[in-house]
Parts: sequence; structure tokens; C-alpha cells
Amino acid sequence: MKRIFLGIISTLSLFSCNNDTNVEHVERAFYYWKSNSSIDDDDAKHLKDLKVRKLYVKLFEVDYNEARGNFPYEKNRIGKYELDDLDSVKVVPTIFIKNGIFQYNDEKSLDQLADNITFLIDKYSKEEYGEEQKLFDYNEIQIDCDWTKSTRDKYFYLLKKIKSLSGKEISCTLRLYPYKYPEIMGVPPVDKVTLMCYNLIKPLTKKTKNSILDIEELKKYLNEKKSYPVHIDVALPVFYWTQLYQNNRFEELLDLSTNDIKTFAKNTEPLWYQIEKDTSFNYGETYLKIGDQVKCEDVKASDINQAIALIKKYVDLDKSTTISLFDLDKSTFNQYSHEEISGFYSGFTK
Amino acid sequence: MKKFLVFTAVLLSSVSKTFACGYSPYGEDIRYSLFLPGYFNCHDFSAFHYSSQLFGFDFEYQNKYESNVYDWYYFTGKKVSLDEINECMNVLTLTDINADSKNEFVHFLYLNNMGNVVNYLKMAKKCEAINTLSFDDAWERDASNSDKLQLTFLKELEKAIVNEKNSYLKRKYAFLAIRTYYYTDHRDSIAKLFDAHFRFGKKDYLYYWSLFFNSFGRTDVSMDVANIMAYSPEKKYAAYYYFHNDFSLQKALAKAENKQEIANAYAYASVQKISPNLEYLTKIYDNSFKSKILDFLLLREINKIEDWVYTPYYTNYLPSIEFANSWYKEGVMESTNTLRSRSEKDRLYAQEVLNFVNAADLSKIDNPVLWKASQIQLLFITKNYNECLNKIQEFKKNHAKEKVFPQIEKIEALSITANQDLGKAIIKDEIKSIILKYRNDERFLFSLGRELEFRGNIPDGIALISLGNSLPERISNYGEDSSGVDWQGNRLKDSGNLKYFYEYFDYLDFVYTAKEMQLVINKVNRNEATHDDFEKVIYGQLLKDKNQLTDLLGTKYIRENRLIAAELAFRSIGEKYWNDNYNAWERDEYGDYYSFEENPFYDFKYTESFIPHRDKYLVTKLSVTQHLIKYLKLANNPKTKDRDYYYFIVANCYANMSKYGHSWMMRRFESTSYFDDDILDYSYVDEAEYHNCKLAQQYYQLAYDNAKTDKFRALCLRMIDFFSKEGVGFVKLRSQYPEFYSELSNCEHLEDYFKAR
Repeated sequence: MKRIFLGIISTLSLFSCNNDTNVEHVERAFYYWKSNSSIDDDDAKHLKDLKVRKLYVKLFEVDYNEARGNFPYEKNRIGKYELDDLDSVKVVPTIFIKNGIFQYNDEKSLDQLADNITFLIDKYSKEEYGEEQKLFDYNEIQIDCDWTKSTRDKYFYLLKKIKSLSGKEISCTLRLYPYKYPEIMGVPPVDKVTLMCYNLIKPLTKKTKNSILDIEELKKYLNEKKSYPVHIDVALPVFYWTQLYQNNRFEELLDLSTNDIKTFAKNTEPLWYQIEKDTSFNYGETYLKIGDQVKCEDVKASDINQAIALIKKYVDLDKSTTISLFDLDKSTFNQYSHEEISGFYSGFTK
Repeated sequence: MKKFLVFTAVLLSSVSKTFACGYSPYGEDIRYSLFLPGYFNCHDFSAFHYSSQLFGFDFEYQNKYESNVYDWYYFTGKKVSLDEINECMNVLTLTDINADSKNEFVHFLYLNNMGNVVNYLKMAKKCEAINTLSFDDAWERDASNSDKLQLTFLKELEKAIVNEKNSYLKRKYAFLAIRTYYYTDHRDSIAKLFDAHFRFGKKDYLYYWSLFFNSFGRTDVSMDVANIMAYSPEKKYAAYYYFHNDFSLQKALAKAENKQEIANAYAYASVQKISPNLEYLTKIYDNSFKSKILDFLLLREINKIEDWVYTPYYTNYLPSIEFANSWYKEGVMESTNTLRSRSEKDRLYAQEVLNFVNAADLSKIDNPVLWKASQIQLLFITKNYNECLNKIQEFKKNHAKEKVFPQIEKIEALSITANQDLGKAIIKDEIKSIILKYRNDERFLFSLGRELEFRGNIPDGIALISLGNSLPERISNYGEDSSGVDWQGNRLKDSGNLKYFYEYFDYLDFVYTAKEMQLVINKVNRNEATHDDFEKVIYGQLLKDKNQLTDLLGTKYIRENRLIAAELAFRSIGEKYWNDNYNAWERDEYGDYYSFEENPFYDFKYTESFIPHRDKYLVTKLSVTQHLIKYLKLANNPKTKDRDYYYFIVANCYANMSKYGHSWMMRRFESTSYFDDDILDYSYVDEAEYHNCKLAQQYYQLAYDNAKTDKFRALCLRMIDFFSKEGVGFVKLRSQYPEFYSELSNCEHLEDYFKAR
């Protein structure tokens, strides 16, 4: 209790001098990115306790191959019972599109893709069996894609097509690079964007940097106050992963936090640990052996709060803004306290 | 069972439209019947309807009011409604019998100062409590007190019998006492009371109710229980249930005092008989032609014949109820022909029953309409179509308002249709209105469809079957209490169980050749443009499914390896169909499960790609067929430079179209497991190819013959070995190219060997 109290005091003091925000109302949101999984009672309870009102649910991803053309995969159809638990949470169907598909598409096939995307979203918004009753109403579709200069035109064409076919509000994710350089990357033809303030560094490329969130890297993009022609919402990272290296070669990503790793490994340099005890996970599918190196990437609450301060200072946010955390997972609630998570939202209005 | 069916259906719905192994319909799911008890007023006999649930104990009394309710109704001079009396008898308890009661019957009794009746009612209500006392120890104190209580009460009851002056009430008190003796296990006292108050009195409902309780613990009650069955609607089923094991027809007949009782004894012996019962029917008729039970038993006999004849004839199932194991030898292969011949044999028995009905004097029996309708059924079953139609005309003139009338019209349509020669059957104009009128009766449509189909008119037959399949209530009731038809394929070869069907599409898929399927498609195409309203209606479902049917046609051509015809069929469907099916967008019938994931000419399941993708195109059934034709043409042309290459990729495609490949959708509408080698559906014309990849091996051999290097030849042999059952351990490869065996026995070097071409 005492610790929580102190935590609240320190959080308050951190933000008490920052008056550089326009934001008066934060719409609290989470991303739900899992496939073949379901939102359980605990998740629902956390969302309720945190007063989360919006859930960006990834329904499927889109890829291309020559035999199948554009195809959906990693599907995640949410069921009635999950939604019953979610009470008044608004679902925003979210679709991830691999940027690589655009080189194989022309306007005709993009028309078909837009039609397929809107069709499948609509299908998944209804009950799977029996009468096609509405499972959830949605007035927004979010498209997530790391578009590049060369795919910009086709991607924007697709966004417009989805908008016209669905008649819904369209939002898309916006990485910091296109945010900073709209003259190069263009401004997506959408109703709003969600600025993704994480993964600025390509994983595995920089040994000493945290690829999920590195404040110094963030500062490279957020260093001057500027406005963006489209309404901006913000997404922050609350996930973690650990990279396993054996014989100096990357093997796999592990769903383990620094705290988990610390129990059987010693810290050798910032972010890096060396396994001291043979340890297996997932019924032996993952086996860490003495001497293996792991790089633990997770984000401290204080780092997230620093990121929030930077965003408030430099990004021109509207009075009402959606703040989303990526992503809804049990581990999130082990990693951060309720107060910390709540503070990630309320930090924008203070 | 039904729940299981639903479960199975849901489980399989995403992967298959047909049922796989594990469930097979039986019993009432398959029993075929058109002449239903519901057409006649025979609720009293509902426990004895012919059903595969022979000894189900879930019988519920179906008449609205029991006999005692009517008795009181007449007692009040019909001044109190049956409902109010019924409420008093069956709902009110002791404390409800008072002067303030809102029940009209109780009110009537108080208003008319009928204190003796009120007292009787109170006593009757007390009896109900006493009867259940030994089972009811609600306060969980100690049930041992109940005996004492019961004895005190019984004394009170006996006193009431003696003291009651009114003979009407005295009998009722006596019955209460008999029943209470039964429930409180004082059965020795029943006989004395029965003899004193009932044995020589009038034989009304109360007599038979008392006789029923008087029959327990006594020997030689066969005649009594037969009489109870004949005369007491409420005790019919109980008289059978409690006494049928000890029933002796001989003993009953020996005690029969008149012709009616002889008939009753035969009736008792008949009600659950599942073998031919004409002999007893004749006896009943000879002794008492005017009886409800005789009418019911005739109906029941026809339901049996329907099961013996229609079930095998229309659905290819054995009758749902078999009356003797020896009748059909165990282990006999139920081929279509065997089933049909059994069915024909049973039609001969139908003729015997028909003779019996014809010989009866219909003016003397209780329900002549049932007998006339029976005659019509039997004439149809015995294939006396002309006579059947004559009788139908007579029936229509005289009995147009009878409940069974619609059924007679259906038999008319069936007779007219069945009365046509093989190859010349059509839907005649005179039955079109009947079909439209009863288009919601799946069994009728199915029977009619089968009659047409058996006579060679496959398109119209399938149209009618599909129309029945599409009924909304069938879909919503699926697995619950649907009248839907399950049927089995016309098996021509004899392996394992017959495949069974619930959907016409699966049946078409399994049973018919491409040529027959082409006839269906031709007719569907013609009807798309027709202005004939009737055709539009009956072809409604086929027209709706036209694209899938054309896909099926193309698939059947693929199975027969008629690629040009397959391509034509696939191409005729149009681009939208291929965009909406066989991919993961879930837009139409064939979604995720049916997705083409790789190009069958270049890639294999579980094998890293080792052949460069020279041609790039979206993989659909159409594009695969078109490329198969193209590559075969190139391969077969002696002027082509890379004939070995083309033969090789053609072979790949054939291999991938087998059950081992990722493009099984080219041949099947459901995938079979890699391991189920023993489950062969021989009625698929390409079943051997689907399992054995003979065409793939043949084309790998041609690739080998045209190969220019040893390494590529070795690769061809390796592929032949891989797809042949005899090639376990790469026999051919090892014998001809032992030096390459080691490298080619796994997948890592396939690319090198392919490049070495």
C-alpha cells in the first residue's frame, strides 16, 4: 500500500510541471492482437477496472502469394461470450496488411482486396452460427501497414477504396518516420491516424538498444512541435520479448520478461543476460542452456512516461484523443501495476 | 442421438458436408413412412404406433380429459365446463376444496348443497397424499409412521364406503379404496372390494380402472388385461406395460366369453408385434369387425410394410425395425440389388394384406375411410398403379374433407409417376399442381424424386430431392425432430458400409458419372432461361446452386481425366465464383478449408520448394486445368525441347490432386486423411487414382523416358517410388541409381537433382 502511494506521488510529481498538453479527454484503448485466442474473464475485468472503452481487435492479416493472390491469415473471430464480458467496450476491427503485397497488385486487384476486406470484417461482426445477428457494431476500421514511399500510392488507393466500400470511418497506423516526413511519405487519406511510438529500431539490428522503445531514438523524431493534417491518436508499447542467442546466432523470440530471466541468468551488460542454469519451457519445446545469451527487451514504466512527456510536448494532439496500449495480454498486468497502466492514459491530460 | 447428430453436423460443417465415419443414422431417423397415424384419430393407441423406439417408456396420455372428468361433467348435467372439472381433479389439493373456492365445479357443489360429493372429493384428495406417503417424507423425520397413518386412513375409507348411501358415490369410494390398497401395498384386500362393488356391475371406465388394480398379483389375467386394453384409454399402455410378459393368448382365448373378447385377446397380442400380423388381423375382423383397435392395427400393419418396402426402396437402408434375425442373414452385403429384392418380397406380403382389405365389408367396419385409404396405400405398394388411381378418384369424390386427403393426393402423384416406363418418365402435367401444393413435404418430394430417378429421369428426380433438401424448417430443425430424409448411395461395388447422405449435393457428388451430371447441368441451364413457372419452382434449388453444380461437373470430368470437358465446365462458371471460392476470404461455400495454398505443378506439401515457378498465376480449379492441358500438349509434342520438364510438372500436378497433395479439391469436396487407406469410396470413379497416384507415376515415368541426365532420371524414379505403395524404401531408385540413393532419400538435394536436368 505504502509503495503504491509513493508510486502515485512520484508519478504526480513527474507530470505536475507539464502544462504543454491540449488533451482534455483521453479515450482509453487497447490493442488485441492475438490469433486463435480469446479474451477471458480476467482480461475483461482489467479492461473494466481501467475504464477502457475501445479495443482495436486484429481480425486478420493480409499477405500475398502467387498461387493464392491476396489472402487473409492469422484470423481471429471473436465470439459472443467474449463480447458479453466486454460490456460497453467499442470494437474497432483492425487489419494488418503486409507492405510487400503492393508490388503484386494493380488497381483492379486492390478493388477486389478492398471488397474482400470489408466483406470479411462485416462477416466477423456477426454471429458465426444461426441467424446472422450483429455481434458488435463498428463505425471505424483501422488498417495497419508499414507503407513505404514506393507503395504509398497503391496503399492510399486501397484505403480510399475500403472507405468507399465500407462507408465507415477509416483510421490507419502511422509510424514516426511518415509522421516526421509527410512530404516524402504522403499523408494517408484517412479520417485519423494512430501514431505508433515504438519499434523504432529494427529488432536484432542494434545490440545495445532496446528495439521496443528507446527514448533517444524517439527524440530523433519528436524534437520539434509540428502539426499533422489528420487527427492523431497515440499507441504506446506495454509488451516485452526476449531474444535468444545460441552460438551468437539469433534463435527465437521468447515470451519472457527480464524478471523471468533474472531467476536463472545473470546480467552481463545492459539488456543482456547469460543463462546460468539449464531451463526448459513450454513442455521442453524451448530449452535454454548454460552459456546461452539472451537480450531482454521490456519497457519500464518510467520510460513510457518519458515517451508520454515527449509526445505531449511535440505532437499536436486534439482535445479528445485515443490512447492505446499494445497489447492486451496477461503479461501486461504482471509487468505493470494497475496504477502505472492507468497513469499511461491519464498522463496525457495532466 | 439427435443431439449427437447436431454435434456431428456442427463439428463437420466446416470441413465437410457429408458425414464421415463415427455416426450412422438408424431407427426413426431412417424409417420411411407416408401413411401417418396422425391422419386418423388414434391418440389412444399412440403408445403402440409402429416405431423403432419399440419399448420407449415415455408414453404420455394424449387425450385431453380422462374418463372421470367426463363422468363428473355428465353428473353436473353439463353445467360445469370440462376444464373446470379437470382443474378440480388434477390441480386442486385438499385445502382448495372449500366454500370459497373459485373453481366452478367446487362452487357448483357448494351451491347445490352437495355435501356428500364435497366429502368424497376431500377423501379423494386425502387418498392422493396417502398413496404417496411412503415415498414422501418431506420433513425427513421418520417415515416409519406412515404405516400407522395409512391403516387409520384405510379404515376411515372403508367406513365411508359403508356409510355412503348414494350408489354413484359408493362405487367411487370403492375405487378409491382399491387404488389406495394398491399403492399402500395392501393388495390382498383388493379382490374382496372388487367382487363386492364391480365384478357384476356395469362395465364403465371405473370398472376397468378397478379391474386394472385387481389384476396385480393374480394369475390368469390375460383376458382381463386384453379387455382393459380394449376399453380403457387411460390404462391401455399400463395394461400392456405391466402385463405383457405374462400374457398368454391361449389362456386369454380360453377365458373369452364372446366374440368381442376373442377379438380383444388377438388385439392385445398384436399391438407390439413387429412381424407380419395378417393372421391376427383376420381373426379380429372375423370376431369383431367394428372396432377401433382393428382399424389401428391395420394402419400399423401398413406402417410395417412401408418400413419393409419403402425404407430399402427409397433410401437403401434396411428396414428400421427387423423382426427376426434370421429373416435377413447377418453379414450379408447390403448391395442395392439385395435391398431391392427384399423390398420386392415384402411387396408380396402387401398383396396379401390388400386381399384381406379387399375382402372386408367396408360398410360394417368402424372407420371405412381408414380402410379405403389403406387400400390405396397397398395398391400403390403392390404396384397396381391403374387400380390405385381408380380408387383414388373414388376417394377424392367422396372424402375430399378427410384429414388423410392430402396424403391420398401424394400417392396419386407417386402412382402416376411410378406408372411410367424406364427412360420415359417425366413429371406429368396432372401432378404438377400436387407437387406445388405439397412442396414443403420433403418425404413426398424425395419419394417422387426417387421414382423419377429410378426410371432414368435424373435431372427432374434430383430437382425434386434438392427442393426437399432446401426447406427452411428442415434446416432449422436439423437434428431436432426433422422429417428430413437420410439415404444411402446406390452401391454397385461391395465394400464396407454404404455411404449415406443428407444433402442432395453429396449424393450427386458420390453417385453419378460426369455424363449423368452433364444431363442435370444441361437441364438446369435450359431452365435458367425458361418461362415455365413450374420448372422455375422445382428447379429453384438447383438453379441457386448452379455454380457449385457446374464446379461439381468439372470435378467429375477431372476424375474421369477428361480435361477439355472439365475446363469447359469450369470456365463456364465465371470469374466471380473463382474469386469467391477456394480461398480464405470466406465469401462463398468453399472457404479456408478448401483454399489452394500452393501451385500444384511446382510445390509439395511438407517439402521445401525446389522447382522454379516459371509461370505465375492465381491457382484455381480453372487455371490448374488450363495449365494441365497446356503442359500436357507441350509434353506430348515431340518437337518440344523440354518434354521431360513438362512431363515432370504434369506428374507433380497429378500427385498433388491425390489425397497426398494440397490440391485434393480438384477431385474431392472433402479431404480424406493420409492414413485412412482402408476407407475407399469405390463409387468415386477415380478412387484408385486418388489413393494410388497412378497417373502421377505414369507421367514421372515419361519424364524419366525423356530425361537427358542420370541425375534427373534418378529424381524421376525417386518420385515414382515416393508415390507408389510398392516403392517403400525407394526401390526403383536404389536398384537403378544406388549412387544417388542416399542424397535423394531426403528432401535436401531435390533442387540439385532438378537443376541437373
